[in-house]
Parts: sequence; structure tokens; C-alpha cells
Amino acid sequence: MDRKTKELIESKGLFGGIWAYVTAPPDNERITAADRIVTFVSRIVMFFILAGVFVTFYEVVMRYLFGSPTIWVNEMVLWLGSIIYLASGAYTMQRRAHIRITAVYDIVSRNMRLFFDYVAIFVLVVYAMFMLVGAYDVAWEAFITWERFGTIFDPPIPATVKPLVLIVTLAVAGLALNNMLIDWYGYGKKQDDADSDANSKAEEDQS
Amino acid sequence: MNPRLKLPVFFFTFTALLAVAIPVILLSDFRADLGVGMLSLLLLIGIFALLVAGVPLGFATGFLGAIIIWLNFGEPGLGLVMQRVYDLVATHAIIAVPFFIVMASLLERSGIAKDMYDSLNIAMGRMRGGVAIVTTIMAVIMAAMSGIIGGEIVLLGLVALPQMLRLGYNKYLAIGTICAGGSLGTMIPPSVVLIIYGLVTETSITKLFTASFIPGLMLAGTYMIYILVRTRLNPSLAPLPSESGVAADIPETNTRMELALTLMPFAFGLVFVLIARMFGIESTELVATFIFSSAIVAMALVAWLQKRDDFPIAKGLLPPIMVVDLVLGSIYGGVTGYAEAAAMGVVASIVLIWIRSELNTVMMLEGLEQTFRSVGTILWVTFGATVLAGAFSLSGGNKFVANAILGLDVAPIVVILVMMFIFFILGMFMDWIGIVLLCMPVFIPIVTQLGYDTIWFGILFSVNMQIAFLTPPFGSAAFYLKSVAPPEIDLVTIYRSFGPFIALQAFILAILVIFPQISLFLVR
Repeated sequence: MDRKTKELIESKGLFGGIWAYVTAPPDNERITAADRIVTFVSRIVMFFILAGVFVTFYEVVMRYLFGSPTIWVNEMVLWLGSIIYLASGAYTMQRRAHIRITAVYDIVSRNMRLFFDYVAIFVLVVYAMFMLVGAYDVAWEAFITWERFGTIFDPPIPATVKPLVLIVTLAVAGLALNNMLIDWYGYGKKQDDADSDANSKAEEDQS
Repeated sequence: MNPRLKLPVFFFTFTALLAVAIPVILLSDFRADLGVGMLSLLLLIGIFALLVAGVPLGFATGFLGAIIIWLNFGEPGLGLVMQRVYDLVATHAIIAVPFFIVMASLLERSGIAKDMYDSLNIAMGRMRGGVAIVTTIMAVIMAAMSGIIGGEIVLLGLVALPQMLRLGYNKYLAIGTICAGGSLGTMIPPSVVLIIYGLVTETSITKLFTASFIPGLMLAGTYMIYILVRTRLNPSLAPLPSESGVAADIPETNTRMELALTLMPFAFGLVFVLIARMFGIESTELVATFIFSSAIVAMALVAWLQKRDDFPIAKGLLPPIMVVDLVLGSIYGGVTGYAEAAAMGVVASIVLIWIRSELNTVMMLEGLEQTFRSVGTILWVTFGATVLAGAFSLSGGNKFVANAILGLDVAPIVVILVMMFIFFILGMFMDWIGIVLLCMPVFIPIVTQLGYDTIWFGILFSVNMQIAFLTPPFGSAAFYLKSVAPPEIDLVTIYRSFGPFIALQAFILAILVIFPQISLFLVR
């Protein structure tokens, strides 16, 4: 988080600050619309972690203090969790933080690096295509029949998570392309002070 | 960063071609019968090539897995790719990973660790080598609160390193202590390494946590003995404050009263247990009574001490004691699962930070953001690997490699030693997560067939990863410390200081290999 975003958050109250954070652009040098969308969605999903924590805590309190364990917490947490795990992949790609071994990448020439980046793009896109071809039917089927988990609480985990696996994998491949365009071809809007100030003013006008 | 390239046309053509060509190829009725041996060899080369090219690990493995499935089963088999990922995502156990990470990232943003260091320093800073001992103890307590390294080493590097250097400690000793101690986060439970290991190898994570406790303490113990012995043999390595002529800044305090205050939560816990027994509460509920009541009393004491300065030791030690009591107590006492224990740990940390009036929106958001990114990096590697592991074992690769190794006709222990050696070599270049996910699907069937316990093997693995954090050229501990160390301490100095500690870790590893019962007697 950059200093400007921090000041923006601190200048508002709790909820205003959180909203300012959620809508703030990522602190990369250049960003595109895709970066902003992913950051916005990710910053909402981040709060699912806290939701999961408090729901689980509630279950423990109910079980030991009131002796009445809930039936919905376990699956609710499972559902929240699966959304967290999947969405975090897209966010990590936007931050260019996926684990990779850069030992060789860092010492080769610039052209070689470009080639390596193309190899990575190839791998990511082909992986996403494998996923698409193999799972499109399954995911669509699960969604359209609103497949449920088959327990007492019965949340529609398969119906939502199966398509989500597919969507996020495609999104990650898309983001890799987006990163390539930004890092090598100079796409995206350059972020500078004037620009962000205009953004925050526009936000204040809205609220 | 890179100057602008002029030719996006190539990029767009490349992408469009991929997006069209791949599905067409996939849908065609192509199938190749390569044979398992050939497949394993191609896989090895492919992995190596992609990793060298810097392709993200999770996608390189997923990609190769998908290709193997396609070569063997054609288009109908490809549904397996998503199925493997879905099965992993819909596992309840993983939720502990974000919970433990969020707890660690909140705690490292609070002043709790700094205060704990100060209070330990008051208690032990006056003896020879005391600050190094304090650092190790602090590392153990922090390791029992969090399951990752990084934050711990950074914190110790900020707090303990300047003090040791100021007091004139030998810099190699100081740096080695911080990094070796800070790495314990993934050895002493709760540990994210063990959670992922348990998930991948389908081993009970609670049992892994139980088994790793003593080996973790053994490691910390050897570090402390090493520090004590070396500073006794050569006092110039760790001068006393009086010798180095630097003020120690250690206030006087009423030690007996401090000790009583620190242990008070447990006394109250026992009282509550006795009361609960009179009401006929038994077994697990009794343990729960002890843990929860002592945690609440500790919390109340922290709130009470917040405004006072007369009990610095208790003030610094009570918050970590409370968190460890709640999290590890619940897990070992069988009160809750480790995911629930982690959730309680997060809530307790938030309340503690709030009591200390350090809670604010920015730190919460930063903690969440850091957690989210760590979850993404750790779990997406796991997703790719689960695809590869599934594909490899479906095509008989596991059996092939296992048979090849079992057919070598060497003593089982030699196979284990070779595996340890492979871990050691890979650990120089790779993160623990990559090693778990690349090696375990192949190694675990062999370990089981040789008649060894996968829990024991997990412990050996995590000791190995302790070594991996320290070994050059890519020991991550060195980079964490470098980021906060004074500029005159370079990477060569840092790596040089690891030598003795790596030897100690290897020694413990050898003991654990020779005596499996050290790891296993608690879980039997």
C-alpha cells in the first residue's frame, strides 16, 4: 500500500476508509482497466478472510459456551474459503507475485527475458485452454442445475465454485497477457500524483 | 521498467493463434502412447526447462499435468484438470492457511513482539550471551504463534540485531542466531509447511503438529547450548554490558512478583477447572475450561497492565502466552481442530492489539492484503501440483518410479538418505512449497512401501527445510535479514554466519533419522 492510499484511508472514518481502500487503484507504475477491476474485486474478497475467522469463532463459542453447535458454519467457511483461494490467484498475478525461480531469468539478456516471458504466456494460456476445453461442460452443468453440496445446510458450493475455478484460471491467463502488455509494450495509464488527486476528488464529489 | 517495444502485432497474433489453435488441437482425436518411462523423462526435462525459464511454478506444473492427461486419455480426460483443483479447493483443512497467515501478519504489525523482546531482555539480558539466548527464546515463542517465516526474521533483525551489535557481540553469532531462530516458525507448530505437507500427502495435520513439537524444541535447544558453550569458551564473542562499556538499559524489577503475575492465568485456569469439576464437567470440556478461562484472565491482566509500568516482564510476556495458550492449547488439548484454533488465535490477536490501542484501519487492511497475496502464492502452486500429481499417478508414473527405486535393492535407509540429499540440493534453489509439491507425490509412495511412517518423514522434511532457509545461494532467511540489516552487513557475511547453525541442523536431522521414536512417541 502506498503512502497516498494510507493517507486517504486515515482521512476517512472506518467504513469510509475501507471503501476508499477498496476503490483505490493498485500502486503499480502503470495500470489498465483490468488491473483496477481485479484489485477492486480482490479487496472485497479479502474481507471474506475476516468473515471466515469470525464465523468460525462464533461456532466455537456456540459449541463450548452454549452447547449448541451450528450446522452451517463448517460449510459456510468452506464456501468462503474456496472463493478466497481462487480469487487470491488473480490478485497474486496482478501483483506479479506468483512463485517462480528467477535465478536464470535475472542474469540473461533482455531479449532472452522477452523470450522467457513468451514461454510463460504460452504455458498460462495453454493451461487455461486445457481447463476450458476439459471443464466447460462440467462447470456449466453444475451451474445450470444449481448443484448443491448434499449436506443439511446444503450450500451450492459445486454450482458456484466449479465455474469459478474456470473463470479465475481464464482471468489469470488474461492478467498475464495484461501484465505483458504493460511491462513490455508500455500499455496502461501511467499513474502520477495529479491523476490520483483527480480520482480522489471525483470520489469525494460522488459521496 | 522495460523500454517500450514497438511490435504489439506479434504479441496479439501469438495470443490469438494460441487461443484458437489449442482448443482445435485438443478436440482432435490425437493420442500418444509414450510409455511411462518416456513420460517420466519428458516430465523431468519439461519441469526443468520451464522452471529455468522462470514460468510461475503453479502453472508450469499444471500445464505439464494437463499435457500428460491429454497424451494418455485424450480430450475426455481433461475434465480431470478442473476436478483436481476443485477437490482441493473444497477441502476444509486449507482454511487454516489464511487464518494462520492473517494472525501472523497482524501480530507482526503490532508492538507485541517488541514488548516481548524487551521483557525477556530484562529477565535474561545480563548474563553472558544473554541477548542471543533471548533472541532464540523469542524466536521459539513467535514460532508458536505463527506458521511462517519472514516476518519473524525481519522483526528480530530490527530489534535484536542492533542491540547485539551495539553490545559488541560477534556479528556472525548474532546473525546466525537470528536467522536460524527465525526460521523455526515453520518447524514449531502451527506451521504452514506442515499443513501443506499434510494436505499433499494425506497425513493427519494434528498428528504432524504433535510430532514436530519436540524436534522443534530440540533444534532451539541445540542453538541455545551452542551459544552458551561458545560464549563461555570465548567470552569476547559476547561481551557483558559492563565489559563493552555500553549502558545495558535494563531497568530493575521485582522478579518474584513478575513471575507470579505471568503464571496467574494458569492458576486461575486451575481454579476454574476445580469449580467445573464440582459441576460434573469432564474430559475435553474440562480442558476447554482451563484454556479458555486462563486466556480470558490473561487478557484481563494485559488490559490492567496496559496503563502501568511497574511490571514490564509480565506486561511483555502475557500477550504471547495468551495466544500460544489458546492456539496450541486448543489443538493439543483436543478442544478444537487447528482451523478453529487458528480462528480463535486471530480473534485473540485482534482483541490484544485493540487493548494495546494499536488497532487501526490501515494496519488491518495491510495485514489482509499481505495475507491475501501469501495465500495466492502458496495455494496456486498447490493447485498446479495437484493436477500434475493426479496426472502422473493416473498414468502409472508413481508406480514406475517407486518400482525403479525399490528394485535398486539397497537398504531402505539409503533411499531415505538419498531423498534427504535431494531435499538439500533442491533447498538451495527452491522454496519449500515447490519442493513439497514436486517431490512428495513421488516420494511418499516409496516411503510408505519401504514401511516408514509419513509423519516421521514430514518431520524430517521440515528439518530439511530449516536447512534450506539458510543454504546459499537462495536461502530465503538471508534475504529477509538483508532487507533490514545495516548496509555494512552483506550477503556473504550473512551466509558465512550460517555455517555452524547448518551443521547443528544437520546433526539434529541425523538424530531424527536414527531415532524415529523421538518424533513418533507422542502420536502413538
